[in-house]
Amino acid sequence: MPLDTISTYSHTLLRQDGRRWNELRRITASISTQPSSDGSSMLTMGNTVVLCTVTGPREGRGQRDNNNAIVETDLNVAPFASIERRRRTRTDKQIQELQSTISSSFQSHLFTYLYPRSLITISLHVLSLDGGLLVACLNAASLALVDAGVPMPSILAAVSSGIIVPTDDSKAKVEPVLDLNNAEEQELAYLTLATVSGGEKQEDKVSVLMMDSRVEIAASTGKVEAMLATGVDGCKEVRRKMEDVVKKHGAKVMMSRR
Amino acid sequence: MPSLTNSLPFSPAELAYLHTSLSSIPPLRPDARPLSTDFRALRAETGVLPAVNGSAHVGFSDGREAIVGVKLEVEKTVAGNRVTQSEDGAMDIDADGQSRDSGEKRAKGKPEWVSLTLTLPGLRDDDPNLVFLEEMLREPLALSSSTTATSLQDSLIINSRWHWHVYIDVLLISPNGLASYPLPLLSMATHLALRDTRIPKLKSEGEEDPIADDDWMASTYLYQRTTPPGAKPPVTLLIVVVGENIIFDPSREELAAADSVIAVSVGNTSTDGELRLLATRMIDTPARDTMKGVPLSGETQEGVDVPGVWRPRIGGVKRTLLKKVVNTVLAGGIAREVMSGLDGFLSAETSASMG
Repeated sequence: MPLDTISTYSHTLLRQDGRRWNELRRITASISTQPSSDGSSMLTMGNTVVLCTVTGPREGRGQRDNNNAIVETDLNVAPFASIERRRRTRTDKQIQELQSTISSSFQSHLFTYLYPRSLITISLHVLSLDGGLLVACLNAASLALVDAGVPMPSILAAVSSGIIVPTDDSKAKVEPVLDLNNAEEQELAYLTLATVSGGEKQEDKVSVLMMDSRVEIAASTGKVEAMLATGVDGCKEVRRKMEDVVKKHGAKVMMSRR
Repeated sequence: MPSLTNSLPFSPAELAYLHTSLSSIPPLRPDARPLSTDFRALRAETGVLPAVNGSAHVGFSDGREAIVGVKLEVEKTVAGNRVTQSEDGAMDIDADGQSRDSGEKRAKGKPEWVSLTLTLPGLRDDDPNLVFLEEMLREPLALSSSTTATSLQDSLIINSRWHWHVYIDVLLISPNGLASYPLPLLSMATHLALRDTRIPKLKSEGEEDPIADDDWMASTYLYQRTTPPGAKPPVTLLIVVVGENIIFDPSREELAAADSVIAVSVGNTSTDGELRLLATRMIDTPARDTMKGVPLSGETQEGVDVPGVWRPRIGGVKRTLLKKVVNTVLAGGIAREVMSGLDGFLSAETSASMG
């Protein structure tokens, strides 16, 4: 293809949408978008739009854990989200995998021992999809849980990172790229990771790491290391943006109480 | 039957209090709306999604939100059901909404070209209430056209071999599930999304295979925004009857105590500006499944009504009351007020986007 990322990147060092390798897409977010729920947020990463509402901690039904709260996720991808219309049912395997990934991420991330025998329900609605589905869901859920007041060590920030390998020379220098869109996800190997801030003067910790692509792991090539390093730095940037949103909303709340 | 599993049911004492208030003249509504024809405030915006032909986002103050995305696809017309052409052989799609001689045959679309899906997270896709709601929303859209009116599917014809297929996907976010019956919310959101829908301009002509112009600014609206105003999508109003009172836009409390619930669909399918009644449906009121109240003095005889003690109503609505409901909607001007409100919103948003 004359216009794909692999063939044009080596000449211009710019991606198809004009970004450089370490630039995020435009991220806008807002919290408390739905006042009737306990926590809510709306996140836009490029052309990916996700709405999230959090209900709980509330009384659990059925299964109960006497020591921790249970986190469950309901992910709904709208039929109009992609360019091609497609209606996904609840039994879609990809949806179920994403739901369990998000549930287990926040089950270990939140301080669930403070709410025994409770249930926290995360409802995610994907309105538009342009790459980074798991990334946007984790970020939106993080913001909604902050809005709901659920204690956690820090905002769980997620990002995707990929690798550009020229097809003619697999030994060439690796070129990592950050925050892939849908077209780039189709042609590049990529992974999704989310990190938790380590606090003052400590490194961030990786909470979520998911990769479905085939990449050489050999240490001499450094492909996986490049993707991980790029992703961790990208997560810092994403967390800074999300923390700005929370701070602005907090200042607005304090202003309205005066 | 609207589902009550996601919200706390009302006690018989609450229902008796609500019914007594609503059946007084004038009705005393629990949210202090002074008139029985008052509608609640709503927020609306169109053009919220990047990858669709039309979209709308409508929210009520109680937290319910509806997001509608409309997508168009080119489909081949089934050969066995070839679209009827005009006798002169020319396809005059630009004449939508204009009256024509009854003897002259016009190209007619098919109701199957309009698909509507409704998604409410938490409910199964085959929930009967959901399927019923879907069809109630779709039915006024896909009515057959007459000699004086044009339906939505007639404007989807490209030529005798190709047509557009409209997919309307509605996402409902509701903390109460279907307890606060969301039909008016979904209807208004669908109305605004369809009026926001644009059709790509075609470079092909006549009977050629359709090829779309790459210039999106050259696209046209599915419902023409012309002067005088053309056809408009239908709007469905929800009305409850309590005693002899007719109440519009019921809240959850009013629905819970209603004697009967009626959905009335009105639309403007011609250029004369007159609204027509498109569909009327009775909806089962949730009050029928509630428990009877117990009077303070203990058990009473069967069939004896004690004032202030709740008893679920049985039977249907009187025919004269149903006629009064329809007259209030059409002749009383409620439908015209709702439609002019939606027109005003679209005008404000158009001038805002141009400014």
